[in-house]
Amino acid sequence: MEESELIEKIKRNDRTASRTFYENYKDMIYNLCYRMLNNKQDAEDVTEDVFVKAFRSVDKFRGDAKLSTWLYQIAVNTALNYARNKKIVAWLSLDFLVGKEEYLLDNSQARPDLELEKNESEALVQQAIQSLPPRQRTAVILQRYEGLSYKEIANVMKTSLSSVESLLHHAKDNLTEKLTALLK
Amino acid sequence: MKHKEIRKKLLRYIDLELSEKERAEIQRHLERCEQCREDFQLLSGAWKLSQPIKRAQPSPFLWNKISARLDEKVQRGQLIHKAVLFIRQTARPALTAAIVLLGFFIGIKLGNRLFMENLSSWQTSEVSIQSQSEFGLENFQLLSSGSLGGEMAVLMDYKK
Repeated sequence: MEESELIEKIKRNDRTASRTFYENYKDMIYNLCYRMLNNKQDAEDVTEDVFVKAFRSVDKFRGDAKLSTWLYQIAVNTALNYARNKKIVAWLSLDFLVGKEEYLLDNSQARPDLELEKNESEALVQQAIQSLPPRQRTAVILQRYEGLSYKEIANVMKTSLSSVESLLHHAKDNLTEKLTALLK
Repeated sequence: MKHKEIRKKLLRYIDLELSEKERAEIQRHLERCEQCREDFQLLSGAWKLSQPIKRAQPSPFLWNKISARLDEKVQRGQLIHKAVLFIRQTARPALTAAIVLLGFFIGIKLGNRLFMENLSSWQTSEVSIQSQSEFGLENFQLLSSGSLGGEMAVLMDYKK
């Protein structure tokens, strides 16, 4: 089914079309939220919100941008707001004194040495990425894990190409410093 | 470029995001500086190894949650629609009738009250002492009816 046809059906409240749309994009959105929030439950809550928002505002989608870009926009904004609110709540409840968030890949399953090393590296890289300012973090995740081009990142983040270049430039320089310190 | 500046740019060097000139400069520095070469190897290894191969998946029940929330909205929308229809079809005429009845009731109450006020003012009005003296009424004594004097006074008054 064509994307435009799918959208038209969703606008007519066709639940089967909504389900197809969800199945097509659920992994993409969940992984993005997972990268941005570094917590499975938070990622799932935000993914839920993203799809509910998308279905409720599907009438506003005019088809100027790609459907994935539109969804990324909703996901990035929702995840950033969620993280901001959570930070406030954590600060109010002093949760930050208790412990750190989980890392993306859980180490509970048995796997070969290489896989373990890979997970350790991933955990350190994630830790470094999570310590970046929100907009730098978003740009890095969209580029590195979602494989978006500079132009696509600019569309998702509603900013200019030069801003994206600058964000990624600073993000990578910051990451180099943080990651070098973590690896030693 | 200085040593510190070069160390900062290592990730962009790994991701091939630097100009040819900068790349060449960093490459020359790496050949000379053992500390930077070590950092570069560590960074490069971790950065490349951390590329995710398989994507994580959300819970299989997530769609049910989303679907339930969408149904909730539809139901809420239907309830609001029903409430609006009820107001338009039933509540509005009933409200109009209630307002008319209320007006009628208030009118009756007000009318009664005005009537009672006027009535009480008529009942309590008395000729004052001053007005009695003006007409010389204090010189008259009341004769009880049935007495001889009283009957005479009635007859005389009648003749006049």
